[in-house]
Amino acid sequence: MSIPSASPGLARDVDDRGETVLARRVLEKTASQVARDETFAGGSSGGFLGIGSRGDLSARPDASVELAGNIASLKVTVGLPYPMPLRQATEQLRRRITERVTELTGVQVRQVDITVSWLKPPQRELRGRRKLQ
Amino acid sequence: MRHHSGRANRTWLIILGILFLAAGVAAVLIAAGTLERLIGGSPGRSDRVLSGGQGLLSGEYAPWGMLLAGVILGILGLWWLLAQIPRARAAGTFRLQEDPAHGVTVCDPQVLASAVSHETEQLPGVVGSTVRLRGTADEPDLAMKVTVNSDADVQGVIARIQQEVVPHLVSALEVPLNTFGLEIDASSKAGAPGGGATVSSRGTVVY
Repeated sequence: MSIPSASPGLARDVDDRGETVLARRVLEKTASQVARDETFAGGSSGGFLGIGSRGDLSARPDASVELAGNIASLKVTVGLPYPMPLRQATEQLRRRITERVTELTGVQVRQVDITVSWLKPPQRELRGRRKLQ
Repeated sequence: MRHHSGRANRTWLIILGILFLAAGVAAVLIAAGTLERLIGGSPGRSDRVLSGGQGLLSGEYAPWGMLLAGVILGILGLWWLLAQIPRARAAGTFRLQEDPAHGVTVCDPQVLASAVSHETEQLPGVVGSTVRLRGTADEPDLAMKVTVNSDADVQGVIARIQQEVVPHLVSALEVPLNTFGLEIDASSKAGAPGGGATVSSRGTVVY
């Protein structure tokens, strides 16, 4: 069996099949999902039009992307548990987002700016009545 | 944690001192008659020093000039007076990482302050706290005002702040505090529900 050699006409057909466009929103959602699933970072949940929302470590952080060709710059607003070494935690977050977004989408992430917008101290079971005996 | 206008005061006092010193020296020279001898063409005692002075002051723009100079002096004086009011040092955003190649990490000091405040208010006997975090991410200044109620063990509260609350902030920032100030205030307010260690009970205990 012989493989037919590619003719110039066939190559033109392949080019005409169309192009794949990756929406910016896809990158934003991918970055925020990676941040939520693979790091300690959280986002905010609840509220209406951003009013009354509260920090929630199980929510996806906000992410925005600036895309220039195949290179992306991300801005992520996160919340973190407290106490936690912030520099280490955000460096880990930056590394994970850079690696995973590049791996999942093929877009090269050059820069990740992180804003820590809230910290969640440990909740103690002190509210309400307690049974003494 | 308060910022005073010490440098501006010193600068302006030096400028004013030099001006008044120059005016004083000039007055002494004029009074002693040295100025007459120094300046050859100066008028004698009987001559009018300001010939045409009336014309100068009765000019069309002279009142406006005086008014403008007065307003400028007034504004400068008012500005200097307002600069005497002590004010809290402005807190910039903490820049935890600044690497343009990979990205910048920032955190508002208010975010850290509210976490510290929340943790402090969980301590038994504490009914309120105000936390101010200033300086930079590498040299943070922490000032706390903690209000305790009458049932609180003040030494215990101070010890727990020093052994738990402050080390948590230090571990979060990963740098030692530059300065730390703690003010304890007493209040008759009851503690947060469940936040205190006191258990009040009424009734009869049957064994």
